[in-house]
Amino acid sequence: MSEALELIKSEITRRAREESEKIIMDAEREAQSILSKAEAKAREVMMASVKPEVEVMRRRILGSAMLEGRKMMLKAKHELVLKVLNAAEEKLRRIAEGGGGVDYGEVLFHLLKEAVSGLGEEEVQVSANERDRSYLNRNLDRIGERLSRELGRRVKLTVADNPLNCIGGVVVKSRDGLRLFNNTLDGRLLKMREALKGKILGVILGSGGGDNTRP
Amino acid sequence: MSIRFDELIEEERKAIRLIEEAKAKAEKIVAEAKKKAQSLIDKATKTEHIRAMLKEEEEKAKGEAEGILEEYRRRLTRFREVPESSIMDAADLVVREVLKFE
Repeated sequence: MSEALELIKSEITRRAREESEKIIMDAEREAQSILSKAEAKAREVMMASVKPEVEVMRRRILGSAMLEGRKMMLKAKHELVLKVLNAAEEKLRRIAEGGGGVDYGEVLFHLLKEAVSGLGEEEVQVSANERDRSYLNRNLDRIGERLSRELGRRVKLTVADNPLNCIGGVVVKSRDGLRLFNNTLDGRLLKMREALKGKILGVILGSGGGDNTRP
Repeated sequence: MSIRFDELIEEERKAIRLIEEAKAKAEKIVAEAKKKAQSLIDKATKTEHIRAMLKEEEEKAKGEAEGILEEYRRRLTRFREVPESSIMDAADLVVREVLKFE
């Protein structure tokens, strides 16, 4: 009988402990939930009061980073284009000196023909660098005849005394000096620079080379 | 036999006390949490906390900005790795355009 009584007593104690532990655990869980909700609520309250300020600040910081990044890209592209243009200028210089596997006499004739045609005058004065002046003076009659023939009208050429400082090509002026057509290699390169930027980047960076300014 | 019933009643009393104590402790835990929660919400409207939050958001934005710049820097390496042959190909294209006549 005594053993049975002890068993009942110990069962009463065990159940009471179990229930107590459950009560405490439930309370701790509830407390945790209350705190989590409060933290979220506090953050929400703070966000609501600083949201416009945060948005402005984010726009400023991120916008500035984007701008700086785009500047870096544009600068790098500009440097690449410049490198290509310098190389092209060097190639043109070699061609004008008779190298590069190109008949520069033919190039010069076409530069002259385009300029004379563009000017539309019968009598023109041609300016060129020292080397081209010398070539033109030596071949003036032959070139004049060919020009007249190919343009289908009479053309009278004279070569200016003062040499130009350029890679090659010509500047053609009307007799009165009021109209002028710059067809030097330097002038053509300069004129095409902007238009060729996209093509240059396309060759260097592949298609879409023009648009790398956004991350 | 009556003595033994008393023992059981006493044991039952102890159990009830234990549970009552647990209930009191639980109430205290929840009450403290509620108090702390209210304090958190109250603090949220205080200037120093708002300032701290702004600072936190600023640091977050600066981190994102650094990520953006890093991506740009990564893209820039592509520009630096352009082979000389591509530069020459592009230069040939420019020369062809310059020497192109009507």
